[in-house]
Amino acid sequence: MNPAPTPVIPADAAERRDALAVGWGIAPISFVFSAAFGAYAVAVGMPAIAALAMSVLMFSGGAQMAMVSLAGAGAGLLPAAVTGLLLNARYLLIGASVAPALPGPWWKRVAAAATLNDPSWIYAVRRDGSVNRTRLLWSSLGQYIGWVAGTVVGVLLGPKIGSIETIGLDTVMPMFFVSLFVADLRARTGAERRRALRIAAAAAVIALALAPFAPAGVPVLVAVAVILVLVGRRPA
Amino acid sequence: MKVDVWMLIAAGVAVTLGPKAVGPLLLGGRTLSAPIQRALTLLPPALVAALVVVAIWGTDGAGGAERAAGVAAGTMIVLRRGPLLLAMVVAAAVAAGLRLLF
Repeated sequence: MNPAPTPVIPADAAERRDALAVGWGIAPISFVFSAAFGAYAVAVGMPAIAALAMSVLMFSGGAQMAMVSLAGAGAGLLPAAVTGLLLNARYLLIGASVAPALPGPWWKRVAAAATLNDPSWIYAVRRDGSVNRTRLLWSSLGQYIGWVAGTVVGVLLGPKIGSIETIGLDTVMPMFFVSLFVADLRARTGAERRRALRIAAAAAVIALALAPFAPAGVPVLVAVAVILVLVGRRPA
Repeated sequence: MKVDVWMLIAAGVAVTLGPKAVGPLLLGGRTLSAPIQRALTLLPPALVAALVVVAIWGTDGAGGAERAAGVAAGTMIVLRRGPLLLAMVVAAAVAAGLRLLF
């Protein structure tokens, strides 16, 4: 006799729900950072609707902040664009990492690429370096909504928020990256964790050493590229 | 602002979508070679560690010490498995408090 079938949630639906929940969990952080961006953008003379359009179309915090800050300081289009490009250059690596998980027609791959962001990617990378497509795509939704909503609030409250340094909100991004780092280390054990720590320390030292001289975005890119070449050449 | 904001946005979209789309467009659905795959297992800690130090000290130098102190305080909470939101509030409060005092 067969046992009564137990109702089960299909694995992919459960995974999608978990990924959505992860995205909503990060949404408040996206919101705060994006509100800071919106307030800053109107403070340096950008029309509110343009700041909002930027968040809707770019969904890239560091590049948005840097480009608006340069333009606000009187820089031309080319320096602003080059800075944005350098800040986003790490997505060349992230894009290569997610590519195997994104089959299908080219326009679907571009649409999926547009959702890429650091936290979703870190959440989606498996220990063997492959990427979980469901986690990658669905965990970005809550962050995107938080991101757009944050800019709306930021441009509206902009003049009232004042400097983000005064209220310590400039710690939000590094604090968030620290939490991602700790979560990544906790998922590793033993020799693998020690190796990850050594690699991370080396990357941090290289990035920090270059930061005073190199344009924004370059230190992180060079640090990570050097590390990857070293790691890739040596069998684990 | 000297530049046209809509040109700035168009440039922003190009320099964001471009780097994001190159990998999926050229390599979409293909498997990566073993050395690349091996390197990618260590990409997350390397990238995030670099992002942390640049987010603290990389931006025009101002306020780095207070930011570092705030993040250090918040990190204690993260390491004790406290809630991330609490860690962020503590980090912001420490940085803001130090700026108020000094």
